[in-house]
Amino acid sequence: MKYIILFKGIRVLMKADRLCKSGNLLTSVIPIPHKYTTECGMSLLIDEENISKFEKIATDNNIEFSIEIYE
Amino acid sequence: MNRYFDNGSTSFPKPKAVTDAISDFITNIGGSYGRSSHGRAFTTTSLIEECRDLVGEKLGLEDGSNIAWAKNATEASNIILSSLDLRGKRVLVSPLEHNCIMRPLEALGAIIEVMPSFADGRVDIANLKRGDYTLAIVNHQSNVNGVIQPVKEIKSILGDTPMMVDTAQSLGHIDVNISDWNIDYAIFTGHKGLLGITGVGGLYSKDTNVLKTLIYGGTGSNSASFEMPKQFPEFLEAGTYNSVGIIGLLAALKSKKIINHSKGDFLDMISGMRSLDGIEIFSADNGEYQGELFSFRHSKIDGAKITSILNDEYGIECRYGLHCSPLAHSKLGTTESGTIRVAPSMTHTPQELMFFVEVVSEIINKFK
Repeated sequence: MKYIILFKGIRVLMKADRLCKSGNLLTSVIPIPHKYTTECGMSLLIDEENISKFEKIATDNNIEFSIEIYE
Repeated sequence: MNRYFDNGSTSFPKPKAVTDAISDFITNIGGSYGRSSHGRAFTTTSLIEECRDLVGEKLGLEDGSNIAWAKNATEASNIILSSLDLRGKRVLVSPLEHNCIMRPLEALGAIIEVMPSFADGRVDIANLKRGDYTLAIVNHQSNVNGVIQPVKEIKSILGDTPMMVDTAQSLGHIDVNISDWNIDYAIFTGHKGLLGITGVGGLYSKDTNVLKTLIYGGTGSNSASFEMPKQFPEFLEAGTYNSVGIIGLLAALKSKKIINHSKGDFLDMISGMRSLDGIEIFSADNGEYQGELFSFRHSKIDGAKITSILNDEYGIECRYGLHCSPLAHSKLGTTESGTIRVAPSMTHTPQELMFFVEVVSEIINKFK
């Protein structure tokens, strides 16, 4: 299963993506599916098995986010 | 020989890396910031955020989290000042403020008061008093006589009064350290000391929640809503920004600066100018507080005439007039005459600085 991670703004997403890349965590940037509303037009797509690793990176770097199932 | 002495208006030449980066961006990248997830847009967004962080570092911040882009320092000033409900409120300004501060303050109906100062416009901190001010504003380096203000000391005396600093002339030339100054707002431009191209500037705000949207429009996010986003900097950055300019600024920030003369060489230039017959110099009284520009006038020869001769007969480019800073000219007593501003580039050699002095001397002798 895949998940999308939502952020408050594009700058936060870019920071999260950069940290994921430097931590060898595979993500990809995709447009936010229409059903979700945030103030960032993009989201990160991530595999289920990487969620906990992402959460640690985000928490360590004070990145606010929410996670939704990617349908 | 570099005969361009109008770097107070905009810097020239720019590093070759700036031209190369802009050309590469237009030719090979060309995406739009924050609008799409495809490769071109992602690369553009990534580069613009990298630049935001580097500008933040240049301003003495940890990163660019509290930086918003604007098209120039003037727009940034308007964003900050129009956010603060200044009508009928007391605002304390340094005596060398630019019209990017004075005109918005006037339009917003602020009650403007001027800080005590010495003859050269440097704030006299011994006589500066704390008061019931909504805001204090300091031009870090004057665009008329190059005086550098003691920002940290001013903030220290004014205590809790929020303070805004205009770094348009100083950033890239001398140290700017917002964290150390503990100020609340700053404005900057990318095309002067930072050596980027025109059309890119921005602001810093310690508390970003204080700011209000000035320009409304699309941000690439929450598009179903007619309201602006709440997230900083999105609520200040409607519409497509100057990606080309920001990519150029990024290249400028990463490029190695070429510095061909010392501050001592520049002070020698001022001394050389001061020694000429009939010339009156407007600079800092103490070289320690002198930034890299100054102004002059002649007791008998009109400044417009000297400037025209410099350009027409010697190919030397500098600016004559009030330099959009009538408050500074009022302080310096030069409102009626205006001044000729001399703002060298870091790339000028000592010989080129002294060449300027020799040329002015030659012009003066023609009128004897």
